[in-house]
Amino acid sequence: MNILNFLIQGFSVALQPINLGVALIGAFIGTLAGALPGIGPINGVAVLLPIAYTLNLPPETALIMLSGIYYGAEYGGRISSILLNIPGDSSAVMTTLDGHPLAKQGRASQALAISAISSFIGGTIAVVGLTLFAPLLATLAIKFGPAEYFALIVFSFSVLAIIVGHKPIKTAIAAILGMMLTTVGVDSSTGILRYTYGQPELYDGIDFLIVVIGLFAISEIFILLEKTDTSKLVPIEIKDRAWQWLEIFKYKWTILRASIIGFTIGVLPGTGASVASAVAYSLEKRIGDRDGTFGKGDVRGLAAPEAANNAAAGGAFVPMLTLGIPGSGTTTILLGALLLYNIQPGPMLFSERPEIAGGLIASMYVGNLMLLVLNLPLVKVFTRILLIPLWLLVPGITVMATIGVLSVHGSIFSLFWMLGIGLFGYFLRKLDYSLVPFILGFVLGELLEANLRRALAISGGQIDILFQSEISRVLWFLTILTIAVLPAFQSIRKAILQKAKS
Amino acid sequence: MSELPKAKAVNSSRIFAGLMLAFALFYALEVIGLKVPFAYDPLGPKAFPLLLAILLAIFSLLVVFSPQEQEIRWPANRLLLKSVLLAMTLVGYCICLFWFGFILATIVAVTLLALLFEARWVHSLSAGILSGLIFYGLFGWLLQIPLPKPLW
Repeated sequence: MNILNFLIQGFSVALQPINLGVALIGAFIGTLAGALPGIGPINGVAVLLPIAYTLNLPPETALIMLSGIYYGAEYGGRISSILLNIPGDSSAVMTTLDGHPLAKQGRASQALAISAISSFIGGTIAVVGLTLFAPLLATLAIKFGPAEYFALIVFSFSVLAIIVGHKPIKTAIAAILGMMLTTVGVDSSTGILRYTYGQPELYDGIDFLIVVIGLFAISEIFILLEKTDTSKLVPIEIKDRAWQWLEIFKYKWTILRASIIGFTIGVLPGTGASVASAVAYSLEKRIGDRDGTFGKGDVRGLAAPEAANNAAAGGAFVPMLTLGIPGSGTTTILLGALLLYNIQPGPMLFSERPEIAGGLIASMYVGNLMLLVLNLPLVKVFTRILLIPLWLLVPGITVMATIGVLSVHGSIFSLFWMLGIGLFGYFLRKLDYSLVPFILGFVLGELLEANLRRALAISGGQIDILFQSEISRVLWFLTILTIAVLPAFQSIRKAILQKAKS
Repeated sequence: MSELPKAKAVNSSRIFAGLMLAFALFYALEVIGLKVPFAYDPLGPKAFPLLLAILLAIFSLLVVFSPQEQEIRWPANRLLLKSVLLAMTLVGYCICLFWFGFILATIVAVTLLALLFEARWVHSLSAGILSGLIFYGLFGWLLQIPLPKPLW
């Protein structure tokens, strides 16, 4: 496929007024979701997905808006990291290390500007990478049959176990529980009812939207009850004068390195922005920390994680669009959104529905530009919103979550499911289980079962079909390799984190 | 936290793993009892759930027998009371939506939630009334999302 034609077609979709409008809305809500501590991109996407769906937005439009929320949040996270020393979401943890000291030294506006520009460069490099690699990977993915998909999904779970998992066993349990939830309902190949207990509401299975809203938004409300109210914190005032634009060139290598690392890590299935920013920060520290300035307000220590987490957010779209395997928690929900519209991501998406794949990718060029504009002059607006008290925020999330569920299912039954899953999600979080493998298990579980059964139906029950093709052998090899290096990787990760903290 | 005995063998992490083990058993038994008249594929609808149940059982056992973790800080006293009240408010909200309609239920629920998050009465009530009207105006009226109407 010709990349230029692909892009031109993409821009013709992305530049339609409605798509420009939703991209701007997405970027704005994303920055907000990122900036408010406790509300991450997952919550933003989870709550708005059913509403976008009910409004009958065309799939590419809905996807453009939801993706805008996702990568917009990577911009927003830095604001509270820098001004409050509280990361807006998990990928902005590294940004606090040098961002907050800079603000304390009275260089808040410099820190905000540098991080916004780093975010923009990181985000844009990732979109370029996405434009170049995604169609390429899509041609490879045509060779994937059921056996290969089965191996690929197993591989992505093994990667997830390493990256999310400081506790791989708990990651595995969460993923299995998510998969178990998918077995509720009619079995598509035999028509047999599993785990429905005569409840007609359960015949279609448990709705993805209800699971997502309950798991993330409702559990968040309970977690927020324990948090300190940020409205009582005082953000550092922005009073330093405007900043010399050309100064950014001093950090070009830092930003470039971090962007490439971020993109690469983002492309790996199951890994996301928080890992990317941690790796980029520690690498930058190793290369550049000659005078021990990192952690005390070194601009490079701010630019690196910000470029990396934005690049990772972009990179996470590559496996999601080409293979249907999400690269992070939020892209899992975006994948679920595509499935809601009956669109199967994968190689066919690029050849048969180029308006979706291309439109989304092109919109990300535009969206990053919008975010840069939103985040430079308007940063003070977001600083204000940062101080919205919990007593306004929490009821707001609750009502939005309820409207979200009501918009797809107007029954009390589904609202109770939302609450039940939310409470379960809260217990999982308290017990230190990550919700990302749970939702990944829920989205991929059905695919995993279907591909396994399809593969064995082809082979007539012979299990060796799973290991026959070269692609699946490579994937199994990678899976075993991943599990084998797991303990080593964990101790390295622990060492890196400790170093970064000290 | 100090009242916890040091060599406590049972903590919430293990209790949860124990529950998951029991759930794995229940989940497996449920699917074993299924009657499958025919299946087009050699695996059928039972194999995958059974595989999941076995894996869950293995991993839960690993948690039960893994080294003692630090006990989780569960909400206690005032926070526990607030958590329970929060859960009750949410359940009540879902029920009231279908009795009193969206606007009224939202006004009450938002007021109560704001109070739970330590807002003053005046603030809570005005937040409640405003959000009842604004959310209905935006989603029910402008975006035409079907929101529950009062029963009467």
